[in-house]
Amino acid sequence: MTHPPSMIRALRIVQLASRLVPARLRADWRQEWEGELGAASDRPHLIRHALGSFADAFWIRQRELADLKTIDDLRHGFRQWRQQFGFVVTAVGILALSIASAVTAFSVVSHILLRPLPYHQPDRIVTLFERQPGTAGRTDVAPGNFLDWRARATSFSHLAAVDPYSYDYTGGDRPIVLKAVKVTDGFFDLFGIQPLYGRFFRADEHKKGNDKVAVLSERFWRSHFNGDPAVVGRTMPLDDGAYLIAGVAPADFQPHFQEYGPGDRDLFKAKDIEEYEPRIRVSGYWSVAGRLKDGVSIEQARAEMEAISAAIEQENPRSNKDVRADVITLREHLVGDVRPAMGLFAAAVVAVLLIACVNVTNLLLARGAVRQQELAVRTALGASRTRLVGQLLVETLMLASLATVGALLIAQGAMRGLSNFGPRDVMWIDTLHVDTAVIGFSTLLAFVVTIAAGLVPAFRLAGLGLHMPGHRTMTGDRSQRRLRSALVVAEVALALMLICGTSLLLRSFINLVNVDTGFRKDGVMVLQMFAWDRNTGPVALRSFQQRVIEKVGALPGVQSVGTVQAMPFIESNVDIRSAVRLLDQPAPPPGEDLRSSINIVSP
Amino acid sequence: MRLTYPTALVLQALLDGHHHGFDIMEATGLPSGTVYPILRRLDSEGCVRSRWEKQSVAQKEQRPPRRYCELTLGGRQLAGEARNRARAMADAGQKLFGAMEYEG
Repeated sequence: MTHPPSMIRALRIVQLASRLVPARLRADWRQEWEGELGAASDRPHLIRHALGSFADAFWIRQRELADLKTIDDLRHGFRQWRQQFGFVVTAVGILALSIASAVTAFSVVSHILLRPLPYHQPDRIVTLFERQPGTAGRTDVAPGNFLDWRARATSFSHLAAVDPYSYDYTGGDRPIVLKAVKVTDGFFDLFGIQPLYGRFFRADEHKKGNDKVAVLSERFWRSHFNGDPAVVGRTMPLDDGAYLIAGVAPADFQPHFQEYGPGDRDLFKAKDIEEYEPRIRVSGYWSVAGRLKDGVSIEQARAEMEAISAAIEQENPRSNKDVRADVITLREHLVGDVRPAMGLFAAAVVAVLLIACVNVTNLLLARGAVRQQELAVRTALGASRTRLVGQLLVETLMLASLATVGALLIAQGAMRGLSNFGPRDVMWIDTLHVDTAVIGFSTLLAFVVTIAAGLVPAFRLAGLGLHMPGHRTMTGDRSQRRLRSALVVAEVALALMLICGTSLLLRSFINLVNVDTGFRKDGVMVLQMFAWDRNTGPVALRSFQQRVIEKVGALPGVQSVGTVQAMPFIESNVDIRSAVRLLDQPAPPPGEDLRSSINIVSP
Repeated sequence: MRLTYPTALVLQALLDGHHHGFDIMEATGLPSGTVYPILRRLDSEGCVRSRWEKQSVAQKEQRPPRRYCELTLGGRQLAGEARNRARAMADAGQKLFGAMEYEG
């Protein structure tokens, strides 16, 4: 069969275009076009018609790449899984567990360290503490000092204090003790928040006589008033009378800025400044927060507070020797001390993730050795390297999808556990949950990890494909063994690092548990009492205490009873510092006397 | 599937008894680069069934065998729909352009 020149050219064009067509379909495709051209050899515009074969070839190519291949690969992947069920369960298990731990760490870190505080311009809110050089850490603020700070400082648009307090609430089924704080004027304005219902305190409610007003926390309102908005405006029985419920605070408003006695508060009460409070300068028990004025930096505020503290020291040399005000941002105060722990946590999780990655890579490599024969056959049948790598990657992605689902389920359980049983003093841990960010993060992580773990084996295997028929080993050649050895070494090194870290932590923990407290703690029970407001005066208090000691002592099984003002090793708002003098030494000069925290105990 | 104007033309050509790519090109006036992807699409959607013509027929004409396309039942329905749409278009055009002519 001889062809006219235009026909030969047209056939060449089709031959060229056929290179775009996937190998599987190429022969068929060329035959089809040649058939068409052959039947049209006598027609005009043959070349133009032939050029149309490029459009056809492109169409087939994109379609083949888009879905046919992936669907085939998926089908093939499922077949593989059925054959190697144990491998799938192991790989998915490893991936899901490690990804779940990483996701949980991510959630905890983002939830606790990175979450925006639910206040207006939260970065402008600071907390203020007292600090004495040479003593450990920060302490709460004495009322007299706070009042002076508030009168003199100009760096803050608001400066407010809270006075931790407890109330006996007798309006429910049984009497309960409510954790509360008395707050000074401007406290809620400082945070720039709006009440959920009702209102916050008016200025005149911070005066004696008008101050029996309360704002409920959202949680207490839900648990004890069934979330009924109609309670606003009613009264509730507390300690010494009926208190007006002015409003309900927004859901997540729990300003944990007390240095001692953290935890959610049930109630906020308007505080009036007692006549004696300006004179208290030694024992700090108030917590102070402020909002920086616009344009004032925290450094400027620190400098101003330093000057004010120095001035107060000059005026009160006995009580305020070396006492300075410490200004830190609210965020730093809330999460500053958990940050190192979180860093450690995150590092450990990354190590676990790496180990899992290496593990899965190893698993895939080992399985690859088993599959070399299959791949060799497929290469011999004309599968390209890209196609084989693609096939192996699709299988890896199938693993990733399954691992994501598993990881999310495990992470959900872990977060529920953490929020229920996690350390109470870590802020916001009780509101941990799986959200869209977590789902997105875990999906991303699963795919990155699985592809990282699957890429090396996929390329190696696809490259090895044709070697196979030459040698019959089923355990992989030397270079593959070397790679696997390297992976195992890396894995063991990481695991060793983790084990060392964990055992050191565990050792510290055991040491802490075994610290000699200096007393026998078995068989000791404690009970907290708030007795002063119903037993006014030292005589009444003493007789109340005596009655309690007698009654408790008469209970069967009780050996001895004692009372103490502030329980050792238990969070307490009581830290009374006072000057002490050694009886056998002369009185020291003013401002130089010894100071110590004091605690009053019964015999 | 998406019923474009060229797709409608190709369907109509198939309905009219054109069974080969180049015949359809001639009947519709569309270039091969348009007709072939449409045929592939129709094939993958199950509107067209294709088979190779008998070797004997090709041998008699001294050329390679060609691929032969015909509409399936679904393809016929689609072609009917295309025809209805084209008719509605033509009616609308008639109304619009006819009226213009009358006014002019």
